[in-house]
Amino acid sequence: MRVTTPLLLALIGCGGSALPDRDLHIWADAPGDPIAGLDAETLALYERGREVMARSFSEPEGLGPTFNADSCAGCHQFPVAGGSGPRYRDFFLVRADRGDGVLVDVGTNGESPVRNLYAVGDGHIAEPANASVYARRNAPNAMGIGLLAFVPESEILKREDVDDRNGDGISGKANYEAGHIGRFGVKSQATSLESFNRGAFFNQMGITTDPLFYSFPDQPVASVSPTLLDYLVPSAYAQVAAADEPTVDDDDAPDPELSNEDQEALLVFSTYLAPLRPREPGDAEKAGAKLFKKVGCADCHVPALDSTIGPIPAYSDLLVHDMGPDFADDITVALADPSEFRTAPLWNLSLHGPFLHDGRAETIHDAILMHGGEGETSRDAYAELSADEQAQVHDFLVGLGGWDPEHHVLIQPDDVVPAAGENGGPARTLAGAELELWLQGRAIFDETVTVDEGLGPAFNADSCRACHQDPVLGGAGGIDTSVIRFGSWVEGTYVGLGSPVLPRMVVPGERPPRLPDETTVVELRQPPTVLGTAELDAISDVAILANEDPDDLDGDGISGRARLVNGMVGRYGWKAQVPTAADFAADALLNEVGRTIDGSLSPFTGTDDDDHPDPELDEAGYEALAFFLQNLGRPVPVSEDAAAEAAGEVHFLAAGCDSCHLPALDGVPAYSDLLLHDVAPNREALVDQEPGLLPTEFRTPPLWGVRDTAPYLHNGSASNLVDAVLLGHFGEADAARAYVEGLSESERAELTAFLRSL
Amino acid sequence: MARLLPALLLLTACNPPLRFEEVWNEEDGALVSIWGPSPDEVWTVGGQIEQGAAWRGSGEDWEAIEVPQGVGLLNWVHGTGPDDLWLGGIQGALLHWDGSALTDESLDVPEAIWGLYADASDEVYAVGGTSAWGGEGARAWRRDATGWSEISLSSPASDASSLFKTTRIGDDIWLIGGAGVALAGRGDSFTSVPSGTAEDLVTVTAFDGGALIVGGRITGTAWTATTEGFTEVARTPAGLFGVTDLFDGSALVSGVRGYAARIHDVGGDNELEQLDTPNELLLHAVYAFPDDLTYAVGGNLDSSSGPYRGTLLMARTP
Repeated sequence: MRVTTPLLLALIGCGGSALPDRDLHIWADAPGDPIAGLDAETLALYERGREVMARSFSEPEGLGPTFNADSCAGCHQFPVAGGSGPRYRDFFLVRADRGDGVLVDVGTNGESPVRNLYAVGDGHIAEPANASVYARRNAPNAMGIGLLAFVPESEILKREDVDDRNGDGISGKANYEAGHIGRFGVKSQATSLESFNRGAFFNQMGITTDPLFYSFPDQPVASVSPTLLDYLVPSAYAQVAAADEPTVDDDDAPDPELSNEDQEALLVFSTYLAPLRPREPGDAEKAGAKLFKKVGCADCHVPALDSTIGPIPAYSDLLVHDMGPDFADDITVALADPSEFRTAPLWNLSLHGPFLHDGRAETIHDAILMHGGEGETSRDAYAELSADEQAQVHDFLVGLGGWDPEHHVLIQPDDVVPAAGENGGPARTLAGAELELWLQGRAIFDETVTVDEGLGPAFNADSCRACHQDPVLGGAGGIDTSVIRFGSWVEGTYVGLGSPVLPRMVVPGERPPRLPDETTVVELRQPPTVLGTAELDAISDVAILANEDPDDLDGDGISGRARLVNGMVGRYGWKAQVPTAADFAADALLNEVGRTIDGSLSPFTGTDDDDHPDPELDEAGYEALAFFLQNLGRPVPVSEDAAAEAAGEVHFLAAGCDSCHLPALDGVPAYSDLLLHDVAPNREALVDQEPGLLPTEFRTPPLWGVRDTAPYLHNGSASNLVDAVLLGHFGEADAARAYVEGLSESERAELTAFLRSL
Repeated sequence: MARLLPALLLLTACNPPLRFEEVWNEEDGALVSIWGPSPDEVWTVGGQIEQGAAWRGSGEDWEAIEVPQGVGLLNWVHGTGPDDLWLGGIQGALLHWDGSALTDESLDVPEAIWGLYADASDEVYAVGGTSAWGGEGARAWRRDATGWSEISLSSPASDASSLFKTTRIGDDIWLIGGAGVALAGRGDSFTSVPSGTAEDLVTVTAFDGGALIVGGRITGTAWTATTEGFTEVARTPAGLFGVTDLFDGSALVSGVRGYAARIHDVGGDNELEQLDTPNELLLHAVYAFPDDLTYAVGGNLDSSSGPYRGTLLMARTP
């Protein structure tokens, strides 16, 4: 196999200090870099693996049949692909009791307790009514994870003290997979990165794989001889149900859905993705390191483990420890009991927030104070430290991350701000106070909102950026960020079931609401791009109203109508339900993030019943956010094949697409009239909960930047742009669809080229 | 909790080995319970959720017995002889075998019958409770010469979600169930046995004058018990569902993911020997005949994908 030991690594010891050695060659100075010493062939594989990590899978490529994310980087995204998972990407484990104590996994395909939120075709799958076990997990940072594979099993076993024979109150034990010692996952349940990766592909994305090298003795370090436990826990609740067998699913994509070559590249990437170099320690960090040892943290968070490539300062013994009853969640994995969790590696800790296995802690301080069980003594000792001493421990721990700040933002201090005319840049050149305000709003757009700042109580995202980051800040969201709406049709009549939105996530400690049993329809709505809001805001109401023809007086079969909202013309949202970019921000903050603003600032905000007093974003912050959107530039056109694009434009015009997708409205080339049109098929497949609107009416979506918004249509049901026409354009768009149906394959390719160029 | 690993690794077995092999892989239903009046007359029951199934035989030879249509998954079988067997299942299913056919005596209740014990032809006990297919709590019934009647339960038994099994220990009938509930008595009169545990008690068998009980949920526990109280004898990494006496001072326990173990010198050293099993199906019940065969049955009861399938393992009783 290609996962080999780099020869150039210097073997430098850590000594007895809790401080990490900053000179080790395993460190990276930039997030996403590999460890030093890889040869050219491995580096090439590493780069290919990075692409696999970031690749968004589509339904034809095998996504689903059920899934939580459409890419690895969907969860492992901070600060780069391979990083840690934000709270809105938490996932749940569910099991159901038959009644006699037999617990049935009711997650993905019944073979895993991992619950999937999305289902290809059906949109969402309801949580089983009898789910009695419910546990939460937060995706950890993957930087450095592969280096744990180089730790010999003997190095892990030597710290095991199952019966606490030394009487120190700490009794860590090794966990196993197929008889070999696990080291990956919050329960140390996986021995190899390969099985860990394959498990995540299958359980989180529905992407099937074949085993590559599944032979534990051939891992980067040789296993100690298989123990008697080889037959004790063959693969009980391991990451992949049968790690040495292919994973298969019943969608239309042939298995395996990830090629062995891509899987191997991802394995190389995850093996050599380096942890960030720790900070140069100052006095506070040095004092904190001493306190870290003094209070006993280092007893489990062992500063460094020996490995075949030198010391691995992960700050973990890779054993599972009893963390007390507050951690127990009825999930056992092989030998790890419900309250037992692997000592979390602390390197790059500041990249991890939220903290602990289920993200229940907002801060490092909280995470320490939540330790129970075997961590109780150290927790109590930490609690007795003075505030200054606790701050020193904090500084030491943050220093292990080599990255600031704790709060997650995608924008880093040295990032170049896109200029006017660039994707993600302002619509015009800004300077002085205006630029400052725009950057402030951009930072708020990017900022991860914590529970302490008002996130929730239920939410779909923990930032604006979460659903608008493809390909740049302000872009679109993937299918895996779609809002889940639901309702019920009874004998042709729509019956509302309360709020039509099913929140994807709730604050820690709460259980997400489940779909009502009466539900007959689920409708996804993908987050659209907000690039170009500056120009959309500037379009006059008069210009929009000028294209209205609600009674189709001109007899062309197209009868668009404007939606009036609070006396203004709605122009944002799939149903044109919001009139201005500022209001759109208020609406999204409330409904997607659970963050309120003062009611005098927008009629689209409100109040919520979480513990944070309303308003949760102050006036200055909201005005900055609004200013950012009011000045966000349009998507930049991209021409790849001018001839094909020109031919495609001819088809676009001939089909009559331009009747609604106006090439220019009030001089703005958004390719939308911003009117509502009755175009969607099958009304009973849609939620009908907006007074005065047909469920089949949708605002003509702007087509600028459409290339970056796949999958297409409001519910992501079209995997390509031609399908978007064929599957989503009926009623007023019948003629256009019929025209496109008659195009040849090459003509369809030309139409696609044109649309992608906008 | 007690730490397992050293005990698991110290295989100081002093009894002859017990080696299981699969003799029957049933694709059309799980095998949930096994019992027989003699080595030549063994019954195993189970099936699918919608339709229960029963088989009779021994060793490698088994024949299907027709179960009335509409009777759901069968959970337990017990009787007094080859012409007097009782089968219980979900949604109050109760069937009686008179030597030639099954008669439907199902109770009109939503609860599942999880366990049965036939003390005599006119004294049969059935216990059950809430299941994934209905019910609102623990219930128990007794059949005498006049028919079935419900046993009145008081707290803590009435607070439990289910009673899981019943058997005779000495002169008493024991009823065990969720949240550490254990009762001993007879007829309509039962008193609580102090278990000292809040774990689920799933299966009980008579052992050395007392009771041997297994349970747990995620992880498993085995206890010896008398009406005076419980003594923990083993902890296992897998939740336990089956237990049987092996007649040499040892007992066999079984549970999730193909887990089977032998507890040597029960009540003495309590050495736990992990046994090799041929698959990872949940082994729901075990039963042994002295100087003959030991059986373990189970299926994919802990999987929500697809129909149930079953397995029957067999070993020569040491």
